[in-house]
Amino acid sequence: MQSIPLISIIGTVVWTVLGSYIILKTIKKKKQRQFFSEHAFFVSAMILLVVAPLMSLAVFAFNHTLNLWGGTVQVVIAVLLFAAAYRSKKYRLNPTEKESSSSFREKSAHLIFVAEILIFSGYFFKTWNSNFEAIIPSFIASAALLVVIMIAGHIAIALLHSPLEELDDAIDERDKAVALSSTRNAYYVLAVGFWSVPILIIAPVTTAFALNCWFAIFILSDLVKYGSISLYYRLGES
Amino acid sequence: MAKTKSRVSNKVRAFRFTHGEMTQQDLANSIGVTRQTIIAIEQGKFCPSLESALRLERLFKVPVGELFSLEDG
Repeated sequence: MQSIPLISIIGTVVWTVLGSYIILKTIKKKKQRQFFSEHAFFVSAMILLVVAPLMSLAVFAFNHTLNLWGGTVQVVIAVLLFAAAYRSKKYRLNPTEKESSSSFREKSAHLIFVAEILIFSGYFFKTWNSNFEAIIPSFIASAALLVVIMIAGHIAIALLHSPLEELDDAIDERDKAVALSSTRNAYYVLAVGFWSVPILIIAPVTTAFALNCWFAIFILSDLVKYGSISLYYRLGES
Repeated sequence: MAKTKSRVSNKVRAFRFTHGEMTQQDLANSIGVTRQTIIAIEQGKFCPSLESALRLERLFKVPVGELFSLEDG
């Protein structure tokens, strides 16, 4: 059984007191009417950073194992909120920034494409010839990592996008045309792959391998979809 | 029937400037698309729908044939 080092407990207490003091001092700006949106982001980030080590200690108290997963997620989100605070202040002081040439949807497609390649290439490399016992934990970890990257990535994209008002834009005819063509491309891969995998049943392969092949087809078709979206937005859809 | 490859070019950017130096955002708002779609149309990367082309015609008060032309490649 692991025990918590004393330095961790002291550090957490000191950090909690210091962090709470900074949060309260920032909230006081509200009374002086100097509390802007960047302060709201800053306070949210600080709350997460203060709570992160406390939660890690609480998890340890229950499970008696060190679990950094919860703390890591909070730190990632806190960093994004600090970025939001910085961006918000910059935007308040200089509202006429340079406009982004690509839309939020286009950047989102780039993010999904890259994240899926990185995460699932690792997943398939690790589990390609494994049994169910090895596949399931890797699958859950990959899915959780994808969710975290998606949330953090989309917040980052939104923060970097200019002007911020464009984030509320409804989809227009170009978005629809790009989505339609990309979904069609993905469908070809999905249809061919989906009906090819059952052939493996007559081949001497394990069920786990066949199911992993099926999953690979789904991921491949998703990559074709988001890759096509990225390409069509850049090169033009026709 | 042999299909010749052709490309649609347009003068949207030129008309936008002669029309009170409209911004891409103003034009996008006028015809109901996003600013990125106006950028794509001006760069020849996207052909707008007939509805949007007719909105452009109404806005710039010029026939669609003057705004868009077909170039054989």
